[in-house]
Amino acid sequence: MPRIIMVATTMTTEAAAAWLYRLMAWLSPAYPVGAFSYSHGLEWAVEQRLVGDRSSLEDWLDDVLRHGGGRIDAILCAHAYAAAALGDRPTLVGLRDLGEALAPTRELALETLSQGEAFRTTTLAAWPDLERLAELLPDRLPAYPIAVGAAAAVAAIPMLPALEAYLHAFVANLTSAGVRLIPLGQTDGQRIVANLEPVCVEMAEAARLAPLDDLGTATLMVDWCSMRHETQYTRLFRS
Amino acid sequence: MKDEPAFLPRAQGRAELEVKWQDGRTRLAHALEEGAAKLRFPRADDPAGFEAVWINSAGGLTDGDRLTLRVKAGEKARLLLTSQAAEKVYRARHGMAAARLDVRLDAALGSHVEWLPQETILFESGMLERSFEVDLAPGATLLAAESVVLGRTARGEVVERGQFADSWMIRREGQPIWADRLRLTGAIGALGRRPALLDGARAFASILYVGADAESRQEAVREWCEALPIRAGCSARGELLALRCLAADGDQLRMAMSLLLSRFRSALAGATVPLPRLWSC
Repeated sequence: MPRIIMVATTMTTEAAAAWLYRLMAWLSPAYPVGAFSYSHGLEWAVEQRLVGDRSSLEDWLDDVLRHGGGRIDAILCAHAYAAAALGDRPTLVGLRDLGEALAPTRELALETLSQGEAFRTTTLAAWPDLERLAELLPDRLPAYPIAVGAAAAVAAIPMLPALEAYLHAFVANLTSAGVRLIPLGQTDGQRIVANLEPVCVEMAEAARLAPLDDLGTATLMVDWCSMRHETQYTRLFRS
Repeated sequence: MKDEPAFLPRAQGRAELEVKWQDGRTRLAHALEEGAAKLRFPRADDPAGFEAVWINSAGGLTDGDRLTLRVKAGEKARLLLTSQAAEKVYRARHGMAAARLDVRLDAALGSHVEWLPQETILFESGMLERSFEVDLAPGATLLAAESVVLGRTARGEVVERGQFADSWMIRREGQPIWADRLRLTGAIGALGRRPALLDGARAFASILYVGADAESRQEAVREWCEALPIRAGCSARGELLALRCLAADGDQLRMAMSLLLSRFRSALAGATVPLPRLWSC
């Protein structure tokens, strides 16, 4: 008996190491989805002085997580995960269409669809053992959280860590955009990431159980910023 | 318990409307009214299009109320739908369900539908869930707008609590092309003051145009937006042109919306067309 338990423990640890490695690779800033080139409308918000220091950036991102794109993405990611885990391609196709239709502006659509497509092609090329992902993910551009959720399910990464990692990457990327735009010191940027940890955890937990009817945002100012960003005179970012 | 009437009058209603293109103009094909939902046709014989006015004869919405409107525009039909008055959403009783307003449009081949109701005014502790669902056949075009005002802002009223959920789902040939879900619930006063949400705006609106020429219209619309004294922006992609407007109060929003919608409708018609009579301030 003890020997069997020991073997089982070793296997679990190895499996865990494999999923953690993949999750960290896929949501690392080094993964070539081009995340660094998107600001989710923040560039215009800084231009308009709606965001100008550490606390206003943290407030802005807190709201984007709870009431905006973060919330939408987490729920889409959870549903894509569940559909992929069940091998349910029609549901994934429906989510793909919904993910695109939910983007309120051209640049926010570009942000999620380009990253989703880059994630899909890179992951399929670099991890050939995930061939089921190619069968499940619709050919046309998937929204980024849908590509991540489906890949996580196929790779047997548990859902909650996948959602937390997704939201962390989302916040860390926008914080980095804010650090460059405002500008802020790197340590202040990490303070924001640290302070938003409980929000990411809470939103990941909530998304895990949320029906699609719970999709919704209240960040009309983010939409407005993204619209006005389209014609912003000097721009570092694509959104 | 004694203070509460045993029966509270509720707005329950359902209306159906169908128009069709026949002998060179859009004509009424079917209309049905039940309960508080009424329809009026002030310009039924206008060759430019059929105008229908939607009325909630209960004069406001509160918890448990439910109104539905089902509209069909036949091939090549041109239909304008508006509402007679601002829809007022009154305080809901504790623990009760939100009022519901469901609008469903079917636009057949080559038809043009405009959904331009007057604003919704959400009073303190008002709760509304609204859905707007549109199915567009090939070549059908849509212009839709919804305005929301948080309280009677002209009287300095501030709404602190409430629930507003608005769900738009626009499909082209069965495929979702625009899904917009607005959810503002709980401490909506405090939430609305946050910079990423409404940044203090107490009135806001969305406009959506769907048509093959959406992208080519964006530049003109952007110029109108940027000249307004409120925050207004637009974005086009594919056959969608979406606008968001945020204003300090209901009056500012109404002025901006009147301007935007009359210009938009004139641009679509290729001639100056007035706003629906009921929209005039």
